[in-house]
Amino acid sequence: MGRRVGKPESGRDDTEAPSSSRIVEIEDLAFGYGEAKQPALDGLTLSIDRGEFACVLGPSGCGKSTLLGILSGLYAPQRGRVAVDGTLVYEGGRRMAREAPAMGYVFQDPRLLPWRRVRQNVELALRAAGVPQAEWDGRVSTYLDMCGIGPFAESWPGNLSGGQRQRVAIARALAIEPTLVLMDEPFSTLDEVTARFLRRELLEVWERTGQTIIFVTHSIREAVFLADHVYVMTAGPGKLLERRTIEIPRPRVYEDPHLTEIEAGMVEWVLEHWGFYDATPREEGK
Amino acid sequence: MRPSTAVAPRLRAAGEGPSRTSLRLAPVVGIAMGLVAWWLAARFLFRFLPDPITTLRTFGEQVVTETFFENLGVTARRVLLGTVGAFVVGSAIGLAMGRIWTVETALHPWVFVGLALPGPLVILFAILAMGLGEMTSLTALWVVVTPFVVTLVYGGAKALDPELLEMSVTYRFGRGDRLRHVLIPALMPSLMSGVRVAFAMSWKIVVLIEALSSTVGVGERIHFFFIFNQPAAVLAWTFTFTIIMVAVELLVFQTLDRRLFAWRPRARL
Repeated sequence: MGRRVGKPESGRDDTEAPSSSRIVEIEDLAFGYGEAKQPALDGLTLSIDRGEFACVLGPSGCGKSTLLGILSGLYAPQRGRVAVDGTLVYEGGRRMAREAPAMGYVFQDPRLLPWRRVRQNVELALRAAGVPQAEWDGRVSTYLDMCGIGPFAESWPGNLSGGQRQRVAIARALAIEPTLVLMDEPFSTLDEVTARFLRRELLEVWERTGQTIIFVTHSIREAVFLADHVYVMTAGPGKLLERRTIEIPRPRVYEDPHLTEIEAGMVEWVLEHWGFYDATPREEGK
Repeated sequence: MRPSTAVAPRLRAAGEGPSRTSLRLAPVVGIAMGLVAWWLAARFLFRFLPDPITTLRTFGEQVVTETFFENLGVTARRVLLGTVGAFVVGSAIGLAMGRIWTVETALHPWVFVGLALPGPLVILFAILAMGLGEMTSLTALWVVVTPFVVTLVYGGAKALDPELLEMSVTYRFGRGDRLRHVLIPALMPSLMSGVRVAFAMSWKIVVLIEALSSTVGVGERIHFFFIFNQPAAVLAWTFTFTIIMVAVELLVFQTLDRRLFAWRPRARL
């Protein structure tokens, strides 16, 4: 995709974009689950540009999914400021806006209503997003076709494969034409071949729609392949370690040696920063 | 994305399974075997037990009596009211207990008390407290049956998939949509079990109530013929309503099952 080839920014925390181009602005965000000893997020600050494919990368338990939960309104932070598309949603841990801008959410598993047909699953999201009923047919067809699942509009989700169900979940998220699409490791439960195929297809859909996507993953390869910028989190409590710009031109090829090179460098770097080298090796024989 | 063509592998394609003929024959063979066993038992084991033909003849005699349909109608009305009342109240309580912990904590012990109460005891206390009458019968019926419905729906409500609820919050489903498209369909297996249990138990309890306290109804007739030692008439009246129960199961509940659970993938081994 031409419009994103070779971003000028490079390396560690790069140039500030003008405020109007920011779609997500997060400052000093903190959140802890009631029973946990350590907060999931503590002092997270980051901003994401409009139309960006942003990957949030971090090890398990670093608060990646919690971040999406806060953005989508599932959890309220204990501290910090969150603004989405110019709307101040949280400040000082208090909810400021009654209604945050609409967001599509693709979970790790598809979370489709098994007792509603594929079409109805998308329509329910459209109704909830306040899309006029006259537009439903067009939107359902457009996005199901775009995700390659159009012929299955009248099927029950239970009769589809895992990959097909996840396509429906992606179509549902995109169909409401949200300000922001949140994706929480959506391909992690699929087999590698299906996942690779869907990653490529997702990029094609993203290029066509121009929507902003925040994609959470713990796979460095996946992040490097998909992202404009990779937001690397600390090992927990989660905060931003670094924002890296991926300068590989699009369309990208998963097997591209340049991608492998960046991945290898990043693996080495995160091993150091996620504390894996600090672990004391066990003495042999004990 | 390119059109997807791969379909999930399944053990056997939907629609495959036993042939239509064997499906139709199976219940006929089952009933025939039961009748033969009954006849053999009546002929050789239990001399007091009337055989199927005698019972059928007695049934024919009862059908033509003036009060047959009145008795049947009264019992049917009581069973229907008992089922609907216990189902509606039991479902509401079960759902509230499953979703609101204060309700759960407050009502949990009482549900167990309700489950443990013997039916005849409830009926006798209802008669002592309220005297003989229709409301007494229905109150006793509801007190006995409702806890069973509560238990079933409560179990279903506790087992609701939190991930689907989370999805409905994320996509900002309204309360109505959440109830109609997420909660109720997820609870449907428990609700169907609840209505079946309410219906079956209502019939059993109504017969008992009518035998103990009523001047009309199938239970009263069974009790009447029992006192006058006419086992064929007792069986004829029992089967009268049992046939209605089976018809309701086949025509109502199984039709509902097919419609409500059409979404379930069929797996046959």
